[in-house]
Amino acid sequence: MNSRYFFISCLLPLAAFSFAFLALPLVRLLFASIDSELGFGIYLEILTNARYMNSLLYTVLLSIAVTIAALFISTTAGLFLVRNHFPGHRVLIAVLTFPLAFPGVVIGFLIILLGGRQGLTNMLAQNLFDTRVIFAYSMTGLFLGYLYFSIPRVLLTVMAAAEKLDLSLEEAARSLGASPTKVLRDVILPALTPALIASGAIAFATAMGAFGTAFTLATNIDVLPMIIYTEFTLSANIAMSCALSVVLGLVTWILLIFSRSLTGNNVAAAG
Amino acid sequence: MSGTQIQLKSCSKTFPDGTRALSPTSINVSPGEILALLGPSGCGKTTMLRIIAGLESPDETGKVFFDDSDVTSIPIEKRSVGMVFQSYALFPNMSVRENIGYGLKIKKISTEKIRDRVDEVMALCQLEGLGERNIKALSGGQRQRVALARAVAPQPKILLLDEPLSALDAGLRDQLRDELAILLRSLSITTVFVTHDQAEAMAIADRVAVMQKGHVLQIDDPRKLYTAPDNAFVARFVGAANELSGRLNNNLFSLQGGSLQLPEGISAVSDDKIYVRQEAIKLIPPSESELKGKVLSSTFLGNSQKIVLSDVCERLVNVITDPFSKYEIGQEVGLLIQVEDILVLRDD
Repeated sequence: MNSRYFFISCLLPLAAFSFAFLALPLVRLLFASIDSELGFGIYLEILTNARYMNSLLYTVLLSIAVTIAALFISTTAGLFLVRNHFPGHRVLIAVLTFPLAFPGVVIGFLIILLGGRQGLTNMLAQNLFDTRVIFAYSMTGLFLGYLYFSIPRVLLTVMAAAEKLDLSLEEAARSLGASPTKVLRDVILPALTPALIASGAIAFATAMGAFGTAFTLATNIDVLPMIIYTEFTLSANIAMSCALSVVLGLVTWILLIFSRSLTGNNVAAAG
Repeated sequence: MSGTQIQLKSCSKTFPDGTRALSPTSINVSPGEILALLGPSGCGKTTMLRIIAGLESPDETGKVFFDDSDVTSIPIEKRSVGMVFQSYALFPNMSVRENIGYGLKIKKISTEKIRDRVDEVMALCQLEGLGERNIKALSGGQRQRVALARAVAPQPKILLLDEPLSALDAGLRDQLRDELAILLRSLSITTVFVTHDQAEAMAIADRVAVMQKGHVLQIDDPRKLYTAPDNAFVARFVGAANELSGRLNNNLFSLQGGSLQLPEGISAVSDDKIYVRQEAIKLIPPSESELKGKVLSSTFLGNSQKIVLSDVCERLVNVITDPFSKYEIGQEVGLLIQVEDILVLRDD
């Protein structure tokens, strides 16, 4: 009996945490979302409203694009950094993980400095080719900003996994005649898959909910977090902003579950 | 015999940090021959295997030939070698059948031909019925056989095995050692394998190369290696040999426990040491021998017993004798050593 009480007392902090920070707010959010004359009909309203649905689609597409690009860049860079040691190696890794420290607002600034009206690209283009290149205030700017803060998240996970790769597996594949691309396809990528799914899920979820960067770049980019913000502060439509929050959470969650089921149930720790 | 000849011509290997893993070495492996590279860890045996495989390149002067073609600069994927790794390195994302068929698939052989060849190799390696299994669901011995089957399936020119049995536990290792010896012989592919276990080397190989500190000390067939070792290291490493130290005076070798009459012309012995195999020493009543020792322990081994003697020379002397004679601890015994069993060796 003693050990059983001990076991239960160990579960208490988890139970308290789950209740206070997961269950309570979510239930409160759900209740707040139906606290208008529409009731549950507010969700039908979302489904039939072209602006909301487009925004949801953009957000999902943008997040998927960011995730794929981040996975591609980070896998290439991560494998290179693990396999090759050169002077400045540690410094480079430190620099690459730097964006982790920045809030979305700062990343927004960086994108404006790069692709804004007074940005580096535009000035170069005007001086050299006499054209204007401005991409900061569009989906392109948002994509670059999200990619910038997604890369370190994916890179660190991929590097940790790449360091644990069994080199003899690659040598075995080569001894059987496999070219470097086939070794990558048949040995390295399958071994990295759990890490790629875990870090891709984090990158995707972060991109779905990112707000600071979008807010800094422009108010007319219709990603879902921006719409939630607008409904809440400008229109004071609290029920709608809550309902949209629930939808954002649900869609992200379902897509994450779907992506995990694609490659078997081998990812424990994902965002 | 059919097969490919392997030639290493003054291959050495120096790593970027300056450590010399292999001193310039030239060896020939005849077509169809099974050669064991035997030595303690760090002796350069794995480096030599990896040079043959194409996983390491030798220092500039070295050359590797398969028959008449120089393969020194050809990477492993184009050398047509089959390799069995110490950890087996089976692909965890593929079934047994997919693992074995991988090399054939890379060669773009038709699905039916792959299936036939995989069936054939699986039968050869006693893996029938395991084709659809996951690698994780195999025992150690089965994994070892899958690794071998995968290596031989594409019909490689040469077969290389890196400590093929060391990942198994002792009982299984003895059984698989004999199976592997029979299987390798039936394949008649030129084979080089690395081991630190002299019993394994002797059981499987046609010839054994004993290596130490990056040098090949002796290459010979197992019997020759055992009965006529070139130096003390080989004698001690291949089958245990007793080292007896004493003083040589006019063919009379004096030790702590008495003396031994050595034949004429043996006076060139250096360091005043001679070597005798454990089973070459017979125990006789002390009154009948000029050389005596005291029984320190006796261990019954079933088909033999091991007697440890003190007071013969500075070191303890091990004797393997029949299992049924009784020896009391502290008992004085005489040693009978035939002159032809005395090994006079260069020190290492």
